[in-house]
Amino acid sequence: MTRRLLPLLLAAVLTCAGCWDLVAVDQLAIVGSIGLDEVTPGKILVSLEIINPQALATGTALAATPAPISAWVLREEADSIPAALANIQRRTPRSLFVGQANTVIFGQELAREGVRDHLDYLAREFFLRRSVFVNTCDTSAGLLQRPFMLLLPSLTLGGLALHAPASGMTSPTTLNEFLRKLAEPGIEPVTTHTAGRKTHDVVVKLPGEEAKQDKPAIQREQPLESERNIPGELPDEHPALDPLVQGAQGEPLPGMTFLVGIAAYRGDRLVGFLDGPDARGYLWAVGQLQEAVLQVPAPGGTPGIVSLDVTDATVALRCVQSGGGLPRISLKLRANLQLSSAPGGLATQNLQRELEQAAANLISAEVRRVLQLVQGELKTDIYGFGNLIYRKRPKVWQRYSADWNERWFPQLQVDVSVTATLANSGAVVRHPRR
Amino acid sequence: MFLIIVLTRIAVMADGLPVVTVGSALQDAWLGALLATAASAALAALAATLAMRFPGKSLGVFARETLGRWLGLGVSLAVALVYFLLTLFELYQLTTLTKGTILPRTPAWVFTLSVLSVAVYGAYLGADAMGRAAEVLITIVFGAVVVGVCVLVAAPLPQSYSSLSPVLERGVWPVAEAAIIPALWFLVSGGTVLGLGKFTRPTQKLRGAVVGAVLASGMLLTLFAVISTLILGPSEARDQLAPMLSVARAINLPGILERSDLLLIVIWLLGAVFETTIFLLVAAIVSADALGLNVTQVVPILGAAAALVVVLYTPTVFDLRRAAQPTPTGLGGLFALGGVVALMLVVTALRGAGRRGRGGP
Repeated sequence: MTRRLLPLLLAAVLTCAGCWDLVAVDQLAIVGSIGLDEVTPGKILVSLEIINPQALATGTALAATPAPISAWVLREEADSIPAALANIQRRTPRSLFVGQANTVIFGQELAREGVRDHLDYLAREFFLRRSVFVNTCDTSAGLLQRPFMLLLPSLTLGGLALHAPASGMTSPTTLNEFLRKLAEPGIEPVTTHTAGRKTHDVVVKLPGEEAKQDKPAIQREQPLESERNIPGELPDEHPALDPLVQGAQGEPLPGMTFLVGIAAYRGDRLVGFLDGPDARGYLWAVGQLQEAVLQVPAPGGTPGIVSLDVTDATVALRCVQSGGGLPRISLKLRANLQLSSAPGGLATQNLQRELEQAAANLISAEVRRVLQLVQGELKTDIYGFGNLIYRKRPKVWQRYSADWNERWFPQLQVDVSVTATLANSGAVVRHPRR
Repeated sequence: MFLIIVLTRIAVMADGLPVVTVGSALQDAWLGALLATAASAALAALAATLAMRFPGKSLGVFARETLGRWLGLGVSLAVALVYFLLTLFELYQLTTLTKGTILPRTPAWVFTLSVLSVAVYGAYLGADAMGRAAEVLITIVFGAVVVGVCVLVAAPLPQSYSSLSPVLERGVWPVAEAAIIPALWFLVSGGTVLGLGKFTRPTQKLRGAVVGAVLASGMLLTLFAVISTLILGPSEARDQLAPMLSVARAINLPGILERSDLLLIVIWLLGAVFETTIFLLVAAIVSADALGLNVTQVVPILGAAAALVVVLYTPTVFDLRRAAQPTPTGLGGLFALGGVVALMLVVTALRGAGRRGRGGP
């Protein structure tokens, strides 16, 4: 009998050994997204979106009367992230759990000061996944306070990270990717650029619920200055902030956040944003453009615009060494296109070739313009050209590595050649005729 | 024998990956893995050759026959002590990683003693029971490895093979340095043949099983080194406590697999508990045979001694990292264990002891 019971007893001992760390699910305060910012110099302002699981209940009796509150946004300032979390825990009746967080947002001021010390916490904390999306917000505190289409702010941000890149003007970055680029020679990290508005302690309502958040009862006293304008912050009237305007009243929603482009870092410091076509010019060159829409003038003197869908794009980079100086980079880009719309009167014998040439010219101009901007103004090798030199010519790289970003990268000559192929025309073939 | 060695290596190599985390091979870690595999396969083949010359006997018996009563006893007990220390090291490593990740508040001794009690029970049941357990566990572990590779392919991770270049940028020494600790681990796994070889039938297949097991797990080690270098980047991978665990933390398939790291930890726990048991069993077999005792008498004594040590002393993660350096631990271990095997082979050959040729029945 003892011989039979012993294995069971040992199995029980092994599986119960972790009971010290047991926290029941209903005792967890599940964090959906994390905002990090600097308001007081030398301190970190941590904002947490804490999910209300009751609002997400489906298929049960609870679903009939879902809670109108989908999440709470709590924030605290301290000397470090763990200290701020401890302060938030002091007023949270559940155990904070970051294992389900899917987004980390750096505020612009913090990002410009440098995020290395805070990345250390993010990398060390085992429960925080390395797959979390990293964003940089142009405001001083940009945690999402209003879900859009989906039930939670963090789900909205996660959904945006997955689907907004189809615009061809932004790209998601994970914590793993950011840390990897930070550690490698000759390449600098980027994140998604999000636009947002001030963060307060707020109750986040489900879509469709009253979103007004000005009741003193649901706001903590705000001793922190978070409303002043900072350099690089999008003004309220900026077209990129249109989604903030709700319905016919044009009433701004508080704290709406979405993706607008790419934030470029030099080391752990933010140095600038690339938005709209600028972001696309960068994404072309690094081979991260998944989809995009190009608009070129209709060929053959026809008035109007032709829209072309980019179905895929590939980039081949080569390090060309001539003589003993700084190598040149050869960037060959191939884009496959699909005709998505054309003006009604368009009819040209050489339509295909002209459109391909027009698209290639547009892409080439975009790539060159952004390259010039990054080399001249931002001075940060977010393309990884230095890394290419290091991989292909390690001895040559040693000569230039010390002041690569400031001195050599701006001088780097990049030969851009673009080939565009118009392979498809959608469901209708109206190639050369009216 | 093949399964026991493969199992002891796959699960643990999947996490600790010393070829990546120790030294400065960086993008050349995979070369270090290949070097470690080749070197340790040769050394493990020597150990298997030695065991094949004494079918049905462990080191505790044939060391006495070859080297004489007292020297043989000394060598046997020294080897048994090495495996006992490896048992402790494995326990500590298991506890440190578990505390550093999923169970930070659980007292170290609780987890350590739980694992140790299972290991003692497994060792008490003996080699046959562990062989049967290996047949079951290898299916789980291998299945998990296959699933893991599939998940890795499905996950949208930026993977660039350029991360593996430039090759040998820092020369050959960093690669050799990175290979030392994995080679030692492979050797001690292959070295289990000195204790467990006496149970293997037919004996003439022993060498093939041992070398095959080292090569198979070496290929997987190489694969793991490549994966962690590609996904984390060479520098970032080197700084991880457990690179493959960090790779798993970077994988998220929304709606399908939210956290693959917990799956990896479970697999790793299975393998690590199994390895601890095997090391304890080898220490018990060799020392019992050397002292003329029964293995079931020695296992509880070794278990009690291990329990006493782990309760009285718990090293930090930094202590363990310092202990597992290429010098002196790696090279010292390789020379000591490899030296014993080589010495025994030479003496056996000179004295004409044991069975010649391809081994016994």
